[in-house]
Amino acid sequence: MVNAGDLWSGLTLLFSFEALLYCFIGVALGTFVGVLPGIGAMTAIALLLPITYQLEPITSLVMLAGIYYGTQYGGSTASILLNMPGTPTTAVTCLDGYPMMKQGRGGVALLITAISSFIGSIIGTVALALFAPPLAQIAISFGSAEYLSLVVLGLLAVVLFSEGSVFRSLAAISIGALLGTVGIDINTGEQRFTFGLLSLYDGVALTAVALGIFGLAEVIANVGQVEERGPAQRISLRSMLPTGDDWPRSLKAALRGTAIGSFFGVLPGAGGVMASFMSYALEKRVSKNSAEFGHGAIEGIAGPEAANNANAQTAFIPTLTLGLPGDAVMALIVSAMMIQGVTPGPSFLHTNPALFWALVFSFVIGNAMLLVLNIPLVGLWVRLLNIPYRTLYPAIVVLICCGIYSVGTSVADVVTVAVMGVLGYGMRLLRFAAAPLLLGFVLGPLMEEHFRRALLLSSGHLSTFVSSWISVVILGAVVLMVLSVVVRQFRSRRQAAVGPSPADEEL
Amino acid sequence: MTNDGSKAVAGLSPDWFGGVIVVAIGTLAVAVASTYTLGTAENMGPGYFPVMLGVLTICFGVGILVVDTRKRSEGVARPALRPLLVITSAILIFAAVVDTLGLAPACFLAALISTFADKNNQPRRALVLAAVLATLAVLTFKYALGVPAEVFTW
Repeated sequence: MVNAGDLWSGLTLLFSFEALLYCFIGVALGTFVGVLPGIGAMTAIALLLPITYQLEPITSLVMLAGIYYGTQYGGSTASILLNMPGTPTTAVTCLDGYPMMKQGRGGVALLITAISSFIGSIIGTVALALFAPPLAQIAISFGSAEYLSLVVLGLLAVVLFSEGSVFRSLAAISIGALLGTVGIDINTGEQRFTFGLLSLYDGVALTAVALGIFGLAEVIANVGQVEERGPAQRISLRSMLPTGDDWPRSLKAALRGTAIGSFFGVLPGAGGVMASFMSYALEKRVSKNSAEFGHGAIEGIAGPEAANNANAQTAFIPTLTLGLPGDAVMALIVSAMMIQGVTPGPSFLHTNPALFWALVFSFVIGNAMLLVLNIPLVGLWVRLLNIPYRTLYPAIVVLICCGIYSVGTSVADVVTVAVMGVLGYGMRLLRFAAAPLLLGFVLGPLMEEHFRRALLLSSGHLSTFVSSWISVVILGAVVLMVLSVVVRQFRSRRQAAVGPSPADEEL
Repeated sequence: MTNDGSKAVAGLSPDWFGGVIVVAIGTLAVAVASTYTLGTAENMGPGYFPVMLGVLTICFGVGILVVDTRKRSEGVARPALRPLLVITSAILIFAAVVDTLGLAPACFLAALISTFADKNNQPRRALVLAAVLATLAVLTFKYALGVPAEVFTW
């Protein structure tokens, strides 16, 4: 179990100038990309991946994590000031944040969202500290067969919670996994899908896939579409002071939101979008004056903002203890860790306790830094929002080019980004979600390894997958999920025939 | 009109098109991967897993064709051809030029070309923007981050 020695080594590992500096860089960058619509955590992390190869594990992990939860602070700034979400998880904040802005209460909204985000993050971090160690303890007895079932469960969960059709997401996962098999097979040295191209011997570059499918495709889709925004107003510190019953109302909403966010964060795939929407729905339902929602109800921003931050922190629980990334950005962080030689999973806490606790403590410090960045320094970000997208996107294009080139000074990688960009855009047009593809790409090789090992150990008998009770439980959950999806399909088909029910109009 | 207001391409159903493409990819994967050593369940060869994935992909593609086409969804959104072609060309030009001309010209060209994607970008501003971005990029990547690339290779 947890011992004080581990906690102390974690603290000493974190409190080096380098680690703290990169923690700050991470959260500042996270706020930056969170504030700007059109560029997100995915692009930022993909661009910084090459740099992390030269850093210590603690430094790169702390920075990447900082970007991840930092975006949840910045995103609400654009939502409140411009009615345009900086990140998808803060879309809900537009609903009541922008009306508050119009009522002259924009400053209060910014302060309350920053504080709610902080509450959500800190409590989420405590949950991480409490639940990760025991969970890792259970998971350490997982063999290859159990692990494979777990990954299948995680992927199915992502499919269930992804937008768009189930089959599309499943297809995206398997195509991503196929993409992951490109290159020389480690076990036999045989080439797969390389077609004689030297540049494909090592496989398709992860950074290229991430930057192309998410970053480039996003730019292509957004050019000319993002409306011209009016200049964002200046916010004075004094205008940020909340009045009347703002405090008790937002505090309660933030706590409820934290609970929702923490729950959804642990589930792979659910994500901050669902958490923030659920929190909004809950606040509206329990509020005594629900008519206020949509016109500046402070619970409508406090709850969701706490939810998306709690979600971002607890998402590290399955990632670090089980090696199961819950979304595409996490998958990227997992890859970064593996390249550093630190494999997230059940043995991570056991072999690297100092790293784990250093990370947990960095969340506390990082969130404190974010509070400073987002309250007194909010004027900085406001000014950023005045840059028109048509000036911003060429910068993103150059960043993507230089970023991918810096990985291995390989022209082939740059071409890969272009190809992936077209693929990603095509997927958008045909309504495929992109995240499952990246997850398949990252997890595919892992699944193959475990599959191979499980069958090798059982001499080819598939019954190994139901031979241990853990595996049975996990596969049972898989079956339940598949059934629930099927039921959902049937219900929606019946409703399509019958027409919308009154219950649907409540949100 | 599709949900996000963009115009739809008449007659083209994303479900049919998407499903067919997925099945095609799966079939291609099975065709290529089955030429590799398959091995047995106990001793999996390099081809085993890809063939499995290919078969799964085909199944999912069939699923799209059978299930998704039942819902009458709107047509495929009209692709934004100008951004697609311009931005992709910008990246490809960067790739073509970066080793032969250097990092700075490559960044400059990539930025400049990409500005054409938005018709609201004016030529003079675009030139200035491209020059500024190229300078910043070189400073950041070559000098601050130490990427081993030549600034100018003439």
